[in-house]
Amino acid sequence: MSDKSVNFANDPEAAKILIFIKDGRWRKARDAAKELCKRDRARYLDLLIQANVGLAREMLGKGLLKEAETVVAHLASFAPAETVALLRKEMAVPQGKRQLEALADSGGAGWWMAALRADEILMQQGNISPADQAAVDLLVTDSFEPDLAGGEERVAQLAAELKAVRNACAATGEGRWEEAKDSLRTLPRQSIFWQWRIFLRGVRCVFEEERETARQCFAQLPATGTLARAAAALAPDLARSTRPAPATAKIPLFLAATGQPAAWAAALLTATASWKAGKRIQAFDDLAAGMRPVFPSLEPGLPAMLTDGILPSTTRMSDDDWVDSEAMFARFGNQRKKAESHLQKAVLVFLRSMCAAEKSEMPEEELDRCWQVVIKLWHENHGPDPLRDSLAWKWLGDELARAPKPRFNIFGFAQTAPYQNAEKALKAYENATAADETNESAWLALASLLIKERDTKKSNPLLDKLIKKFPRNKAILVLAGESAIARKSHTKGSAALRAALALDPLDRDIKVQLVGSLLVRIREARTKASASTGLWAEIEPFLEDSPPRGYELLSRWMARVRRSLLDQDQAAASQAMAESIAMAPSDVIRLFLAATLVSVYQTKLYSGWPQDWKAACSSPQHTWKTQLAILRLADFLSAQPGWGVKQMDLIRKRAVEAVAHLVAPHNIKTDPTGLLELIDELLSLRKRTAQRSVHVIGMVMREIADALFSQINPATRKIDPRLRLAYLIFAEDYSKKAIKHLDAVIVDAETQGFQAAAARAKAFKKEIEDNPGGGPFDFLEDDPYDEEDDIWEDDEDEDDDIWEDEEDDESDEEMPHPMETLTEAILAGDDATIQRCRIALRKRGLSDLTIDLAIEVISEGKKPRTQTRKIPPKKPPFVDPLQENLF
Amino acid sequence: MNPFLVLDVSVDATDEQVRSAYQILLRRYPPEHRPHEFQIIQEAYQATRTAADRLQWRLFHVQSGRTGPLETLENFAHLPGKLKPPGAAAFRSFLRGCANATLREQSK
Repeated sequence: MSDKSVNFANDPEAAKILIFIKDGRWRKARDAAKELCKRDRARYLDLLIQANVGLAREMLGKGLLKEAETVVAHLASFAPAETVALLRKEMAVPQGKRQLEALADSGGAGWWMAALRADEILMQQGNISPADQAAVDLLVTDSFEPDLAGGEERVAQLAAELKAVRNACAATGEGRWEEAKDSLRTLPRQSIFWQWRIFLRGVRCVFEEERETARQCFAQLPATGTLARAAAALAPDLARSTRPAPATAKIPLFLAATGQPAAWAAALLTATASWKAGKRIQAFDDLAAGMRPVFPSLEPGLPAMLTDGILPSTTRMSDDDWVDSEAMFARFGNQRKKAESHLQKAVLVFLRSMCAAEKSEMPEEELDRCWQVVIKLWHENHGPDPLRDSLAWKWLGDELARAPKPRFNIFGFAQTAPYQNAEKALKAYENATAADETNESAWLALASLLIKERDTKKSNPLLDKLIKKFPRNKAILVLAGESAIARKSHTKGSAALRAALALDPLDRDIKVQLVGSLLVRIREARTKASASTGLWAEIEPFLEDSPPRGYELLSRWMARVRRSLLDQDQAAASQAMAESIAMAPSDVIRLFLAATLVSVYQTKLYSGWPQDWKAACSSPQHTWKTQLAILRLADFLSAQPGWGVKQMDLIRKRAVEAVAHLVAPHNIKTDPTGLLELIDELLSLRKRTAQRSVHVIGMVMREIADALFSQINPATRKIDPRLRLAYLIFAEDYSKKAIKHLDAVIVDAETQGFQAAAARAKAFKKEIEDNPGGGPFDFLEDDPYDEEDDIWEDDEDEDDDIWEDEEDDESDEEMPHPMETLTEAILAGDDATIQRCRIALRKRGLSDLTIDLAIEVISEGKKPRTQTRKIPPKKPPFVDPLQENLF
Repeated sequence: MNPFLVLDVSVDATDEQVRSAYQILLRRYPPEHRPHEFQIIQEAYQATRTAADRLQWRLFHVQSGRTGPLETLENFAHLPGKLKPPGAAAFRSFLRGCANATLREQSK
């Protein structure tokens, strides 16, 4: 619509009509304009047209389509054809869209009108429509200048506010913060531009790192508006918006804001469109075409980030990525023949990331070939760099030196693939050391691989050379020490390890190596019947009173136990024994260690050991911690190098048996925290251990469960919540009732300050909720006497087993209802049948304790007393002749 | 995250230049106030501390996932300290784009 109102500046009647038009009082404006047209049609016709157009649009806005049609039909008789056509077009679109499209097409003047309308609404405490607010926002970013001649004061005020906001925008865009602040200082709170003031303050805070203020500012903006959209693009972690800013707006902004060339905008826009359409290779091509020669790139910068992002060679490749990757690989392979520099670069970036991402998937020969191309292209494109080449060759060596991947036969069974890459890996390491002689890690890798390949002719001189070349490299010294000790060159090995220890005196791993080496020498000295006093003295500085878990070889009391068993000097051995008794955490643990080591050292236990063991076991001072310590000690012993699977199982079995002997039901209520710890340890051990030991652990757990079930009621809140938790863990009850009990346990544990127990109960509750109907462990389902997995089956020295149950080999005849038969036998006093029932019940998984209790209950009709549990007869640990290489 | 871009150093920067860039960023993004940025800066410094580290990163780094050009540009712009005032014209053009998008969306 034309804006001819300027012609009416000095015409009060026309000005009056203009005010009507501005206020949207279309009928009054039309009637007044009609009157004026009668006087001078040519001069006032435009006002009449404006009034009629406004009236028609108002009717359209109200849904009065017929009335609007009448007005438009009348308008057609005197208005220009294009005005009428526009109105008819507006009438053809749905009502909701009509106002907005008209607004969008109306340009600066229309937005100014919308701003005036919004101002009016705001003055009347009304709400501005989103469309009007969008028009106001567009007005701010437009260059339209409203005419103020003859206007009201309010109009002039609004125009001044608009100018101030525009100034503030320009100042903010250029980082002139004070000017921006000054421009908006006088903006009234009732202004339709008030949100702009908040937004611009937020933007300033983003740039000035005042994040909290920025967050508060952006939080005040309507989430669906223009300004929230802009704020979310500028600071996505500070602003909320339901809609993102368009790419056409963001790309030029971010390029400008990060100092990148504006010319890249077109390429980025095209590539973004291709990417969104799923054409990822096309996106690569778009960037390559629009950002040549900087894309693709390996140099830090936006082009390199774009290269990394768009290439399919990433750590997580989807099926589509694979397809893209193969397509690009094939195309680069063909184009490379052209030998153009940008293609060379593209091949380099693609191959580099492909090799790095797919190193574990690519066949070794393919990786070897491709990576050598990468090294060559890098050299050609970026010039020589010894460190780079050395690192690149070392990486290739590492990848080739990895254990070969198992191959699968046609039945799907894994087969160990022959190790074929050692030669190539050695070559790569040699290239790495040749490229940069100071690359210590490459030398170390080379030496390690030679040792692994048992190429002592090369590895030994190389290690000697490396020790001289890098005397302060701990890893090289340790490798040389370990290698020498493995070759039984203990003196040379100890010297290298001591040099390494001098570099890092706190390194316990080196101390363990040294103590191990000294123990081997002590055992050799014992075989040769030569003195070992000096070697024991050498061990002494490395010993600690309480070494952390995993370093038990450094334990002082254990060293004393070893000496008591190994030292040929009887006086020194006795002295060591006396010291070990004083230092050991408990007699039971010490005796257990001695019995275990005897089997390793092939010596004999002293004659009084069984009596000592019996006395130690019957001591009332045992706590759960004693059992826990035995289990941990067994875990350490079975983890020693040189130990076979069978021996490891045996150690664990012995330990668990020892623990089983120490389970004292009458003490079940003492030290509940220790009990929970023991349960966790047993569960953990059960996961790690072999099948045959699992049954033994299951037996121990049954013993504890029996005691718990007979003494604890989980519903009784007076009982310690830790004991109730232990009960619930063993009960394997995954019902709602159990969850209810656990809730009570959690509350009571927290109230009583048992935070660890509360956390354990919460974890257990979650486990129940995640596995309804499941169980944490299935020890109650295991049959320890199942002949398939009989724990005693592989014991080669059953005759020597002091813990052997004398009833084990008795009859195993079928008994359909052993408990009923037992009841009848007890009532009849038939001891032979009772004995057979006992065996039958044991086969069904019941422990001796449970059977004893059952017999007691049946025969006496009293509540069982758990103190009556029998301690099975004990036997000395067996001596395994295969344990030659230990300690 | 490209550590060279985070620290704003070139590939041939010396150890001293890397350290200096790291210290400047640390002062600007102290861990107690800006833990997220501090983490990014710390990781970037670890990856570029020595010449060998810098080369290692350039040779062997792998992108964790594929990102489109626009997302990459946004990630680049939102690296600590990367975003600067874009200039009056670019800022106005950006705001106009946002306003047009809002209006278009409302008319749908």
